[in-house]
Amino acid sequence: MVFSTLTFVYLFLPVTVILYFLLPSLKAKNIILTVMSLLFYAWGEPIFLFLMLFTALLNFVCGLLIDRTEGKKKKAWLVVSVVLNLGMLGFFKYAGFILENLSALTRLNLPMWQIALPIGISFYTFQSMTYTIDVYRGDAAVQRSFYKLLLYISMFPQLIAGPIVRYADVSVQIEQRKTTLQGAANGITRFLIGMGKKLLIANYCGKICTSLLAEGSSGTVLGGWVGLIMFAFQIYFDFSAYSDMAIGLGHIFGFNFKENFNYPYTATSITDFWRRWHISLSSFFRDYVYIPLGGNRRMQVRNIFVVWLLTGFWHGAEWNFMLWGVYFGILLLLEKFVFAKLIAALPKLITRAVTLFLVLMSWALFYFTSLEELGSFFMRIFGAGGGAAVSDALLTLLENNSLLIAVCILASLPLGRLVGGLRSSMIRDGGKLENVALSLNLIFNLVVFAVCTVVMVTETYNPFLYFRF
Amino acid sequence: MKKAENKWYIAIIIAFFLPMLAFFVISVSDTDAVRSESENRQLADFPDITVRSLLNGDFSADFEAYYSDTFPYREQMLSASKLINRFYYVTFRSEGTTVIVPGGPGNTIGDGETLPSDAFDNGTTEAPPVTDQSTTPPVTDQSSSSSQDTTRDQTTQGTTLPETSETTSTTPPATVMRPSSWVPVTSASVASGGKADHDGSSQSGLIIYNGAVMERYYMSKNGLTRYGETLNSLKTLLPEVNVFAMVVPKAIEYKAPSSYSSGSCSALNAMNAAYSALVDVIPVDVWSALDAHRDEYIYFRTDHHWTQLGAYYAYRALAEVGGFYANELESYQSGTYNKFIGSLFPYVKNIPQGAALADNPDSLTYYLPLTGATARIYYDQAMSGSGTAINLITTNIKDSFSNKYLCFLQGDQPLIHVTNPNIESERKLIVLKESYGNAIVPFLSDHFSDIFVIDPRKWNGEGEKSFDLIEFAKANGVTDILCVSSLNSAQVFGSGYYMNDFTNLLP
Repeated sequence: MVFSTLTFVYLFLPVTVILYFLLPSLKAKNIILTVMSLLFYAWGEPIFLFLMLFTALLNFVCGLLIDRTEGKKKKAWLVVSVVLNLGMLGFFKYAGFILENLSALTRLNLPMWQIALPIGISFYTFQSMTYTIDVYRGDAAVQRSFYKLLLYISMFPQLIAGPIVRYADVSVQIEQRKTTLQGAANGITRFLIGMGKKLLIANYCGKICTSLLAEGSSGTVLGGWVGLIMFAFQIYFDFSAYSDMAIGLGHIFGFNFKENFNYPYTATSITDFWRRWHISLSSFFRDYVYIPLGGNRRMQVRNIFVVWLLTGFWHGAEWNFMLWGVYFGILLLLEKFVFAKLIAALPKLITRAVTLFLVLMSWALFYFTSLEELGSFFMRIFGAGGGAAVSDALLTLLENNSLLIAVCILASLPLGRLVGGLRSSMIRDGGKLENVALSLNLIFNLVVFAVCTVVMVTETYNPFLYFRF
Repeated sequence: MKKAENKWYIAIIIAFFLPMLAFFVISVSDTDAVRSESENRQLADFPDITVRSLLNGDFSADFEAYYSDTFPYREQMLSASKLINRFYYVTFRSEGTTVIVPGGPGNTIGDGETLPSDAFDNGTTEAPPVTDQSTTPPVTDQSSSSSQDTTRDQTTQGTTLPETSETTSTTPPATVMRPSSWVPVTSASVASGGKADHDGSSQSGLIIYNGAVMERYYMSKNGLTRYGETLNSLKTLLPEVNVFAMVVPKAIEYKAPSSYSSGSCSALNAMNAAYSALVDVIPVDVWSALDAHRDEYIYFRTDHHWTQLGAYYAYRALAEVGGFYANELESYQSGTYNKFIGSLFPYVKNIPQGAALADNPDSLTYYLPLTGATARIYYDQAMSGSGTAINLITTNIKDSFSNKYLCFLQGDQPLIHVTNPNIESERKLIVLKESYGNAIVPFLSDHFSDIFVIDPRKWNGEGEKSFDLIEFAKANGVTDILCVSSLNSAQVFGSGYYMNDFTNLLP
């Protein structure tokens, strides 16, 4: 099920909320949340529900065994759980890719594998792994109740497209949490901000970018750039919208998930960018791959390279995603070992511009799954594709979408944080200022909700980009 | 926590959940709507619940469609969206209302639609009296219209073969043009070709310009070359038959400045690319024929088709190379449907600049055949049974039925046999076409004793070979084949597209 649909907002969510708050005990609340989460998943992936249940059971059993054993045996059970988790992910996500490339390489006629990718598998597999690893490391206590672990793995707010919530971060909240009025109100506002970003910004950017980037090498040069920039906006507003909605929904049910984005397009370096973009994924790789490999103490170059190859591969079984990961790996190495002093010395405006440019290039790698298309796109935007610089149609498109583009730029800047900070301090001051802040908050919510509802009814939207991963 | 603060939080929570619950309750309790008049379509029904549909996800997909279609105040929301779209479709430059609409209907818009029986004014699908009237051709003054040199009024004679036409005037005999290699048409106003190439759907959004909505499209040079090669192989398999290629530009070519074409696709360059690949196939220069009349009403403003007037100019271009004399436009008895809001309108109706198009709907003028040809539909290659009689042009479609273009041949039928006993002709024609061809067939019915109109999309589905074109042509003594389709259809060969089905008719 997708958050930005009528079925979710006007059917699933009210039913879930009513049941949840009618039930008195936390245990009953947890059970109903689990049941509704399974329903949420089964709505889109009825068959693969069993796969997710199996993953939960596997990690539950492994967790118990890790907890019960010591020394080598303990480690063995950890290895078993990691291998099985990755094995399932690999089978469903990469088997087709590996077979295809293997048969191309060996010229053997291996059977082609066409398996549908179970939605959200990359996210919930990683979440499950943080459980067994955290238990092994002693960072979290073992979970002796199956449905509670199932709740952690299947929790519908962040099930399908993150953020990747670590078990250690929510294990206490599963046992003990409370929804406050403030938490619920802020959660609702956060959810609506995400809904607005998705339905009112990202989807429209997506339409424009698709039409411009499909023009091939002889499309206009400027059209290529505009298309790529619109993709950068789309992927940011789409993905961060999902995180906003997940975090907002979490608040309504009393959970606190960590932030996943922090205005990534204002980053001053690639290192900085990855502290601001999909934070839960980069910190997962940092804590569960990079540091165990030796971090910056032992074979740092290799470690960085491995992490970024995996980051790329995590996004999909395509060569372009690997290329995308390696591209970032190389940039990060260069930043660390070659340009560190230069970046520190340069004015922020310049490092921001360079970072933005490099990130934009990465989105081209990310967008075009075929290397041939990628090649002709680069030809196009650097003027070697034979297309005109600009066309009347493009200028009209820019004119038609001038307000949207202005909103995209403003919303990429940390204005939201500014407004949020202002709101908090007005509320702290109390009295009139507090009334102004919260009444504006209320009006904002009503307008966004109304407009989003109209758009949900009238537009045939496209689902979230990160559902692919 | 302060009390005042909590009041506000409660207000925010209520403002979220109250509308949610209200809509939820209304939505669940009131599910009467079955048809949306403003969108002109049936709304989705509650899907059947079966184990299969639950397990393969069909149920949830269908349910979402149902829930959205029966959402309360849906009609009001549709009009509200026009207001919202002011934000996304801004036009502030002085020259007015040009709007580029990304997305759009894709290549397969309106594929294979037929005229339903409830679209007739009197509820009958029987051929209306108008076509019967035309069996006695309207009296026209032949002497006044036979003065042109390439076209002549042929109201009674029908097809004029070189051997039989030497009776009345000094007009040179019409002969089928000898195929020679295509000399590309050039035009000062069209930029010479880029290397645009695009596979898959060639449709790339819509443009609203000067009171009309038009499709923008890419050009696929590979596709166009393949089009030529496909027709070549048809010719090779039927060496005795004249094969004509007719690739029809879309409205944007003439009705919007060339700088608004997507990528570098000009229909002229595309037609040249397709025709340059032809060997022994006779190209019909539709581009020039339409270009000479570009300011006339040759395309609809709200539909993706050409008008029958546009088809008429293409028919004249065909006559020039096809060995018959085209009839004068004035010789036809014509009629008009005054209100026609076409297939592209639904894609722009929520955009303020697009909604305005409904204030100035299209009209559809048809020209009735002169010599009283009749038509029957068949559903198998052997044409077994007596078929079902249909109108070449239906003149009694009721006002409320929107798709008036289906008046031609009653839409896309698998196989129509048009017979005309009233003319002297030994030529038998196959028309391979998508919906663009429907408007031209009535004109041709005055020149060929037998026309077999074949829509490739209706055959050879589901991997079964149900139609063999070569066998069919031989069995029926066919002398000519006209391949007519829009440029969009001609260049896309992917599965599910017209040219894929076209290719499947060949061995």
